[in-house]
Amino acid sequence: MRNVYIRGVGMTKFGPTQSRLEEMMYEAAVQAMSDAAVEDVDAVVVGAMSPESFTGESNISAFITDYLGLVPKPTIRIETASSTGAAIFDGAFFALASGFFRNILVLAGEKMTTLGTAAATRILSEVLSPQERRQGGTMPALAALVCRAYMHASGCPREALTYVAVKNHRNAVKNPYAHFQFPVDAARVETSKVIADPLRLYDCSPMSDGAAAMVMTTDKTPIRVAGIGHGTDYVSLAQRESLTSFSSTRVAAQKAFKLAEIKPSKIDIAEIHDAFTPFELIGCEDVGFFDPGTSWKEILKGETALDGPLPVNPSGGLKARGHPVGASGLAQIIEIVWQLRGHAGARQVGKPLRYGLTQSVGGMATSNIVTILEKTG
Amino acid sequence: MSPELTPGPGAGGSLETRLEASICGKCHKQYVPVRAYCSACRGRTERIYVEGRGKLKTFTTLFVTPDGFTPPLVLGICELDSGTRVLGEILDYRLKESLEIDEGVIVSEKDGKYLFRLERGLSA
Ligand SMILES: [Zn+2]
Repeated sequence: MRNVYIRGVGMTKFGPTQSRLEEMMYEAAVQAMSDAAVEDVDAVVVGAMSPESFTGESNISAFITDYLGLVPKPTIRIETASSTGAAIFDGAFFALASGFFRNILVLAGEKMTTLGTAAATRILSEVLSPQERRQGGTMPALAALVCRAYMHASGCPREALTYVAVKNHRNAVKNPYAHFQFPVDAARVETSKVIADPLRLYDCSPMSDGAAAMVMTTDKTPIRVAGIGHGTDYVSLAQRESLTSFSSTRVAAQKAFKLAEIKPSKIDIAEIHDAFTPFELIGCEDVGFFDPGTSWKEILKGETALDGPLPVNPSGGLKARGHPVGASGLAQIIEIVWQLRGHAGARQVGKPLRYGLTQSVGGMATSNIVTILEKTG
Repeated sequence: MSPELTPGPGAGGSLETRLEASICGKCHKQYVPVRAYCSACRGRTERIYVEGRGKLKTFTTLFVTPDGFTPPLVLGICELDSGTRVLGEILDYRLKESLEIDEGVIVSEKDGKYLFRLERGLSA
């Protein structure tokens, strides 16, 4: 297996835009290829969760490759719901590690704001089990069920969920790519509209437009992909082994750490899939940063703040950078690249960084992916 | 398992507490709702009936609901005494403010939806 490196990255500003999906992807791809200093690539891997439903487009990989002027390069689309952006990275990683390709352009995007919130919520709920959907289940509803079970089992107070929202908004203020570039205080979070109790509006990530792109390579660069892992879980939430932890993350993290040959304590910085604030707490436990049921205590101590010992979601996370579902998984990895390179601007973590981790949740945690990047140069 | 289970607290009335379920012929894992193949071992399943009685493990009240539902919609997950968990709608609206984890619920099925009633509400 060959080593795989990151050669260049690019992203659009997340949030509502007039741009079409292919225009956003073009913008991100041109940035990534310019950053990578390549004119051409060997293959294109495209990610989008539901362009069929959001904007009525299918055959998206050929469409985008044509739009980018990369015909006749081979192109495929990979889709794993809200972890799609990490899944294309996963797919390209193994294609490169095989030695068959040298440079692959991976790009992901989602155009979510065209149809309005109600229609977008319905499209997102299509990822759930048919029976749980038939009952009126939505992503926030199922996240709320997990949140209540987690709070009950761990003793996690409302204050910890609020802390995550406040922290991630604070980080996003320093991120020019973020959807929300304004701070929120605890009162604003805790008086926001109840969506599905205990989750309030400010516990939920927004519907965003956005695209992210990356050139991955087998040529040595300063950023190496040290580890990657992917796990699947039963689609029905009720039938899972646990309601307070995501087994798909645990499986993915174990594989990623095994490949990287390091322990979770070596990670210097992380992007965790905070589509809902409790997911950041659960994710930090599932990847091995904190013991089960203890994340909230560590987070309230400031462990994961931008200037803490283990900054989590320096970008603002899905919560505040925004969540164009297909793109978020790749945007997380790009944030780690910028942080490891020292290119993260006002939100640059001050301490020296060597290892960064991302965790992406697909659907209601049915297809979760963990990546570990290492700064080698 | 016998199809003639003890009727629940609605006995003599209308409450059907027997639920259709599947059991894997190979590993004996149970499923509600029914499914043709086992997701643990790919074994073919057989139809059984389990009692619709268990404990509430988590719950939420939705104030934003999908099309076809009127808020507030109260959903929960029940762990049946037979060990299987199922997501359903909690019908005792007048009690919803005081739901408690691990309290007893009676589960029935209607048109592919699972309906939960609180045991304490039925005995009151
Ligand atoms: Zn089985």
